[in-house]
Amino acid sequence: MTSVVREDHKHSLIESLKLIPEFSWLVGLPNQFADRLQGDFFKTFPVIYLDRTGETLSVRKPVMVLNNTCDLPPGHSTMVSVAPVFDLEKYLQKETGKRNPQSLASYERDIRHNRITELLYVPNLPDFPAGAIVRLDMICSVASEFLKEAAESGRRFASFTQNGFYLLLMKLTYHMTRSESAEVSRI
Amino acid sequence: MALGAYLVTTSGAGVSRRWTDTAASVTWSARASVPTGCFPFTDLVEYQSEIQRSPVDFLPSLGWVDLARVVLAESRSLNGWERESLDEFTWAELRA
Repeated sequence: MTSVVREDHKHSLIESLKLIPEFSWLVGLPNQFADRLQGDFFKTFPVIYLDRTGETLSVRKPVMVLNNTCDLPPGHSTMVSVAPVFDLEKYLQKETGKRNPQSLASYERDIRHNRITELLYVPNLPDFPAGAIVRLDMICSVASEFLKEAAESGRRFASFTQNGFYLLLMKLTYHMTRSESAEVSRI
Repeated sequence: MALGAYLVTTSGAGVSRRWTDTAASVTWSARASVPTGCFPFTDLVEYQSEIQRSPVDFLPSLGWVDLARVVLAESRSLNGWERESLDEFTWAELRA
């Protein structure tokens, strides 16, 4: 814990962790001291994907920034990596009636308790009154000029709190560094 | 906070510690070999204790990756139908 969490943050972080599975403490208004931070949320940000047929899709959607804060100032990293953000309520409404109600309820509970490795659930994101999900398995990179333009045009709509930021780092850590299956063998 | 069963083993110069925790209790034990001044042998010190404390109390002693694994111990990947439905929704939203 000492290598990542500042000494003076430990007590507060542990108090927040005790609240899990309640996550209302993750995000707040855009940070007023820095105009770009790891985990910041931006509206109408460009993302680009290849679908299974090879078709390119380039659109603007809400995103969460994944770069380390140290790489975000102008003149640092030339690319910014983002993950798309979706409306959880809209997703669940689409699934209602298509799935076994018990299975869907169990799935919804796991999402809202942040138990799904590929997803980050944020319950109180502005413009997403019933909660949002960030797809950590759909990261894409675009030129950092787009981040500069988004920041300067006021399209940032939320930032992580200090303790929420540590939870974000835990989600990224778990998603990328969880143990491989025992069936995997390497030379 | 519900934590799953978890095991951490650490060892250092002559000292090893091992503890397991559940949501209800922590069992802790230590075994250490301690040099005793000018005598050409070591005393063996053993101590074992069962402590009823919350696992949260032990979070500060964990390394970062272990901390993430403890806090998110109940995590799982999407299953087949969940992944399929999420992809269907996601691509529809991206194309909207």
